[in-house]
Amino acid sequence: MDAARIESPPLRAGASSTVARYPAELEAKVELGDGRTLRLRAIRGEDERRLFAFHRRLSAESIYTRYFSFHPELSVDELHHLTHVDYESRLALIVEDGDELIGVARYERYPGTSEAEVAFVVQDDYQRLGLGRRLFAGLAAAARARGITTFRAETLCRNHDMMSVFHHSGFPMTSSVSAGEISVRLSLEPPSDELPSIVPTPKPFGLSWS
Amino acid sequence: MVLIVNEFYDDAGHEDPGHPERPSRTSAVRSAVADLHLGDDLIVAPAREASRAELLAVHEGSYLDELGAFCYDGGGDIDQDTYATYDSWSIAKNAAGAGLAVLEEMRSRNDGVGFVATRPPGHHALSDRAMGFCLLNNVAVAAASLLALGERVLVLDWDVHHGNGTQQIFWNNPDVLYVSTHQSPLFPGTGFAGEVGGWSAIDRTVNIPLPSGATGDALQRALENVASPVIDDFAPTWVLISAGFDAHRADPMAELQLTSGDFSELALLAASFAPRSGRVAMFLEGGYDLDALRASVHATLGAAVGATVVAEPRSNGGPGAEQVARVQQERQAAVDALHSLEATESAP
Repeated sequence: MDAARIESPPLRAGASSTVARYPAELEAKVELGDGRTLRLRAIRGEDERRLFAFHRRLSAESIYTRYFSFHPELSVDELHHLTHVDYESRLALIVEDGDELIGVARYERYPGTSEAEVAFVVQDDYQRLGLGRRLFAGLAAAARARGITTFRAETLCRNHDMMSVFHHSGFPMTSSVSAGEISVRLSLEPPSDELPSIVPTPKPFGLSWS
Repeated sequence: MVLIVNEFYDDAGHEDPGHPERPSRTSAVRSAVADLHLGDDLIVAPAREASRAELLAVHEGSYLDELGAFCYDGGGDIDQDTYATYDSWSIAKNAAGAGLAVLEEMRSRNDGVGFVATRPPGHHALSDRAMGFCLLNNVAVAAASLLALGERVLVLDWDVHHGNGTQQIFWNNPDVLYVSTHQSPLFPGTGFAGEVGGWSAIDRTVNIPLPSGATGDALQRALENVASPVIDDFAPTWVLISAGFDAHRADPMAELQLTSGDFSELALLAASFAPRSGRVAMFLEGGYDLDALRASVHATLGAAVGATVVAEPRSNGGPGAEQVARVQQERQAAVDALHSLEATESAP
C-alpha cells in the first residue's frame, strides 16, 4: 500500500482558511505505462468533496496503513484542514484521473525546524503503477524549494510498497523499527554539486586554490 | 614480516597549487617507509596502470570516458574540492593499478603486509563520479579483483571522513564488509549508524560515527565492540584498509585527536581481523599534515611488520565512548527493520 501515517495535527478552533499563493508551477502530467495520462497538482480548498469521495473509495487496508486506525470517513474539520494548506509549511500534491482524485501526498513541517512529516495514499486500483514514486519526487522537490531538509515518516513494517518508494527515492535514508512500525528519515540535502566542502572553513591552506 | 609497497610512480603532474592533496604527501609517506630501514624485507611491486576492464568492475564506463576526456582536454575543477589535470588520468590509473600490483605480489609470496602509497586518494570516488579529492576508487578496484577470485573482503576505513564511494560501490554486495570509523558530522555527510547495507547485503556495512574531539580509545573500543562481532560473523579472507591519517590530532581537515601511537594499535587490531598473515593491505587515503602523516605511516607500518618504532603515546579521554552503545542500538534497529521487511515480502 502506498500509504504512511501523518499525525493528525490539532485543529485550531476558528482557524480561518489561509490565503496563500497557489503553486501552479507544481502542475505536471503523469503518463502511465498503459497510455493513460493523469494530472498532478497541488491541492486546493475546493478539493474537499473530491477528497471525501476518494477516502470513501479506499480499502480498509489502505486507510489503516495511512492512519494506523480504522477511519472510514473524514470529518468536515479534517477535510477542511487537509485541503486548506499554506503551500509552505503544509503542502499536499494530488493526482487526478479526469475529475477523480486518486492519490495524495503531503508534508507538514515540524514548527521551527527544517524537518517535515510526510504521508502518502494512493487509491487501491492505482497502486503499483509508480504513482507513489512520482508523488514522492514531486513532494521532495517542492519541500526542498521551501527549505525543508529532512522528511520523516512512520510506516508499518508490512507496508513494503511505501518502503520501496523511500528506498528508490535516491535520498539517503535511515530507519529504526519498534512495535511493527518503522520510523524513516530521508535527507533531502542538495545532491552532489552543492555538497559541503571536504576542506573546513576557513581553509587551512594556501589561497591560490579555488 | 616483509613489507610490500608499490613502485613509486611520478605523481607530480596531479597538482593544483595550494591544494592540500599535493605531491609532497607521497614524498612524506615514502620517507616514512625508508626510515623503517627494512633492507631486504622491503619488496617493491612494479608500477602498472589499472586496465579499463579492472576499472569497470567498480566504475561506469561512461564515467571513465568522461574523466579521461576531461583530463585530456586540460582538466580543471571537477567540483569545489576536486581537480584534475592533463596528467591526472594516467596518474589515477597508476594509483588504482598500484593496489592491484601490491596484491599480486602478496598473493605470489603468500606473505607480507601490503602498503599502497599513492595519490590521488580513492574512497570518496563513486561508481560514476569524482569527489572529495578522489578520482578512481583505488581500494574498491583492488577489492573487486579479489572478489573475482572468490575472496571475501573486509574494507576497514579509518580515514577521518566517511568513505561514501566505497560504501556505495559495495552497498549491495554480500561478499564485501565495509567498516568505517569517521568524524560526524563532517564531509561528505554520510555514514550514519543506520546505514547498514542494501537489500542484498544487510549488515554488510558498519558505520561508526564519532564526535569532534574523540580520541583513540573511543575508536578502538567502537571497533572492538561494534565491528568485531560483525567481522567475526563475516569471516573475511582478506583485509583491505582505507588508511587515511587525517584523524591525527595535528591534521587541519578535522578534529579527531588520534596520535601516531593510536594508528599503531589500529594496525594490530586490523591484523587480528585477517584469517592469517599475508592478507592485510593498506591503501593511503587522506592525511594532510606532512609531519603527522610521516609519523603516522611510520608507526602504522612499523607495528604491522613487527619493527621497533617510536610513536607518540596513545590518546584517550575524549568524547565518543558513550556513543558506542547508541551506534550499536541504531545499527541493530536498522538491521532488524530490513530483516522484518525481507520477511514480510521478498525484496524489490
